[in-house]
Amino acid sequence: MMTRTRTLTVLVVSGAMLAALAAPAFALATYPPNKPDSTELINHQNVLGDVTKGLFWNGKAITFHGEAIGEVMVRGDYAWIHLNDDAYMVENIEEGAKLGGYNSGMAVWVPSALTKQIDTYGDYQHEGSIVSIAGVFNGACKQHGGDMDIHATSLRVLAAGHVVVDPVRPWKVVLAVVLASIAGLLFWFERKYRYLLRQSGRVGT
Amino acid sequence: MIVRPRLEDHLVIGKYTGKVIVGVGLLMVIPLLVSLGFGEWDTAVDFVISISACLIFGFGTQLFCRTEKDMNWSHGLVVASGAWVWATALGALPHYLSGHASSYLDTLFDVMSGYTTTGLYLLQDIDHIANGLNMWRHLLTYAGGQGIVVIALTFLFKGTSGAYKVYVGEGKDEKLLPNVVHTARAIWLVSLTWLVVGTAALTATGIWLGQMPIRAFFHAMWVFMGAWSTGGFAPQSYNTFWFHSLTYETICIVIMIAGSFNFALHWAMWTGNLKEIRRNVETISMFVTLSVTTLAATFWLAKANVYPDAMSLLRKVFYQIVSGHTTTGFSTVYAKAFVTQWGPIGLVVTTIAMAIGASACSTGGGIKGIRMGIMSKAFLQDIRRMVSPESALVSQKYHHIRDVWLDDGLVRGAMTITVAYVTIYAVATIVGVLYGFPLDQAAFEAVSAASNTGLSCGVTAPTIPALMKVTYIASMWLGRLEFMSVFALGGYLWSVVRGR
Amino acid sequence: MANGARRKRISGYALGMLAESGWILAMTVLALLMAIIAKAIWR
Repeated sequence: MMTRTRTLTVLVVSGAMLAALAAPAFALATYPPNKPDSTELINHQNVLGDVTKGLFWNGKAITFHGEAIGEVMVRGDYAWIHLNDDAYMVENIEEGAKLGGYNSGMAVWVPSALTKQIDTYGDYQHEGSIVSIAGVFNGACKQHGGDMDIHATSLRVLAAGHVVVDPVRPWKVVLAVVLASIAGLLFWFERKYRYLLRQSGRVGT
Repeated sequence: MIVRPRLEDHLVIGKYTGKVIVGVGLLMVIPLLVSLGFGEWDTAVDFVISISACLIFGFGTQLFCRTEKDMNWSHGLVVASGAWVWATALGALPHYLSGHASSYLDTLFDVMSGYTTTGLYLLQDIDHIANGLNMWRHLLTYAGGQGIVVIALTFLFKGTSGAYKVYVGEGKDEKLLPNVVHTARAIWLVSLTWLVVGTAALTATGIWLGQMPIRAFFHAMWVFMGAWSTGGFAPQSYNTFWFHSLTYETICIVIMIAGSFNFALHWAMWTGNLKEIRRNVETISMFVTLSVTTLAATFWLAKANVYPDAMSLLRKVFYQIVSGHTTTGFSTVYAKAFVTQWGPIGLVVTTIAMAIGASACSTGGGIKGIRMGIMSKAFLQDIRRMVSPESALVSQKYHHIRDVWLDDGLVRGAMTITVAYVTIYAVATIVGVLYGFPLDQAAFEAVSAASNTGLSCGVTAPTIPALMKVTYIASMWLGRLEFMSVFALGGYLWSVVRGR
Repeated sequence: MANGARRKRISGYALGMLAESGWILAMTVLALLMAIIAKAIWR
C-alpha cells in the first residue's frame, strides 16, 4: 500500500515537472483573434438597438477557433462541441494565466467523425485542444430549437491539449495544519470545559 | 429609548451564531471528499483551511459565549441575519484560495449569491474550476435554499423553543408540523426526495445526450441543485445551454417550478391533499402572472421574428420566463442576447416576472405569490365595497392550505414588504444607471439581484465598480431575508453604539 | 401493519410529486399553445 502511494507520488511529481517544462511552449503559441469572435457574434446587430432586423452574422459563413471545452456530446452522425475563444484558451489560471474576465465561446454542431481528431477537452485538470472550424453561424438555429450555434463543415486541430497540474502550495499546507490544530484544540478544550462544569454540579450547555 | 444590549444578549447571539457556522464547516466536508476523489490536492487543502476556519470560529464563540438563556424574538432575527454574514465571509475562503477571483469582494459576491439562491457570479474561468469547488458552489446554493439556519436547526439545535425564532428570521414562517425541528425535517424530506428523483432523471438524460456517466451524474446533481434551490448556478459557463436538449430543458422546468412552490404546498400535496394545487392562492397567482408574462414575451418575440418556429419560441421564451419567474436564473441564451435578441420589451417583461418571483416559504425570492394574491384580493374587495350599499359588510377570503379571511393587518403586511422590495429594486437600478448603464439593463440586473434570480443581461462582470458589487450583495441579502431580520441586525448594532 | 402504513405514506408522497409535475407540464403545454398561436399570427 505504502509503496503504491509512493510510486503514485513519484509519477505525479515527474508529470508535474514535465508539464512545467512543456508549459512555456504552449504559452508561447499565440493565435490571432477570431474575426468575428464570440462576443461579436452575439452583439453585432444589423441595426443597432432593433432586434427585429436580426443579428449581423446570422446565416453567414465564418471560421472560428477556440479551446475545446468540457466534452463532446455525440448525437448520432453529428456531435456538439464547445469552443472557448477567451483569455484561458492556451493556458489556464493554475498554469499562470492572468484573470481575463468570464469565459466566452460558441457551441458548434459538427459531424461526429471530425471530432475524433480532438484529443483533449478542457477542464480543471486539462487544457483542451485548440480547434479551428469553418461553418455557418445561426443566431437562432431552426434545427436546434433556437440555439445560437455554428454548423461546422470542416474541423482542424491547431494544437493538442495538455494535462494541467495544480501544484499544492507549501504555505497552504502549513496554514492548513496550523488552523486544523487550533480547531482540534478548541474542540477538545470545549469538551473538557463542559465536562468540568458538569463535574462541579453546574449544568453545561 | 433604545436599550443597550446586555452581556447576556451578546452571549446568546454569539452562541447560536457559532452553532450555525459549525454547520457551514461540516457542510464543506462534502466538497472536500469530492476533491479528494478527483485527486484535486490543492483544492482539497483549500477546503481543509476553510473547514478549520469555520470550526475555530464556531468552537471559539461557543467556548466564550456560555449561557443558559434561550433566544427571544430579536435574538432570533439577529442570529439569522448575522449568521448569513459570517457564513458568507467564511464560505468565500475556498473561492478565494482557488485564485479564480480578482478580489475577496468578488468571492463574497459569489457566496452571497449562492446562499441567497441568486446565481449571479464573478468567478472567472469557471469552465476550468475544480470539481470540488463546483460541488461547493452548488451545495451552498442548495443549502442556502433550504436555509442555512434550517440545516443548523435539523442537526445542531436540540429542541430549543428559540429555534422557531431564527427560522422565521430566515424568511420562512410556515409551520408544516407543530414542532419547528419537525418542520425543518419535513422540508429536508421533500428536498432530498426531489434531489434523488431529479438527479436520477437528469443523469439518465445526460448519458443519453452523450455525456460520460460520471460527468452526467455530477452535472445532473449540480444542475438539480441549481434548479431546485432556484439558484441558477451551473457547472459550465454556458449554463443549461450546454446540453442542447428539449428533454433536459423540460426536466429543468419541472424542477425549477417545483422548487418555487411553498413547502407548505408540497407538504399538503404529499400528505394527500391533491386539490390544494388548484385552490392555493399562490399557484393561482403564479398561473396568472406566469401566463401573462409568457404571453407577452412570446407574442413580442414572434412579432419581432427572432425565433424561427413555435418549438424554438417555447424553448427559448418559456424557459427564460420560467427561470425568471421562479427566480432561478438558468438560461439557454447568452446574457448579451437579452439585449441583442430580446430587446427592451423582452427585458422589461422578464424583469416583471423576476420582480414578482416565487412562492413564500420556498427557496425562491421576489415579492412572492402570496403577497400578489393578497393584494389583488384586497383590490377586488375595495371595488366590491364601492359598488355595494354603504351598510353592506364586504368580506373576502383566500385559500392557502385553509381559508383565511382577509383583514387590514394582513394586507398592510403584504403591502409593506412589497414596497420594501420595490424600493430596493429602484435603489439598485439607480446605482446601475449612475454608473452609466442603460435604464432597462440596469433595472433587469438590479431586479435580478434583489429578487434572487440571477439572470444577467451582461451588466454584471468582474470589471464593474466595487460599489455596484456591494449594492448587489446587499440587495441579495435583504431580498432573501425579507428585510426584517436585516433591520433587526441594524437595530442591534445601533443600540450597541447608541443605546443606554 | 407498520409496513402498510409506511407504504401508504410513501405512495402518498409519490402521488403528490406526480400531481405537482403534472400541473407544471400542463403549464408547459399551455405555453406551447401560445407559441403556436403566436407563430400562426406572425408568419
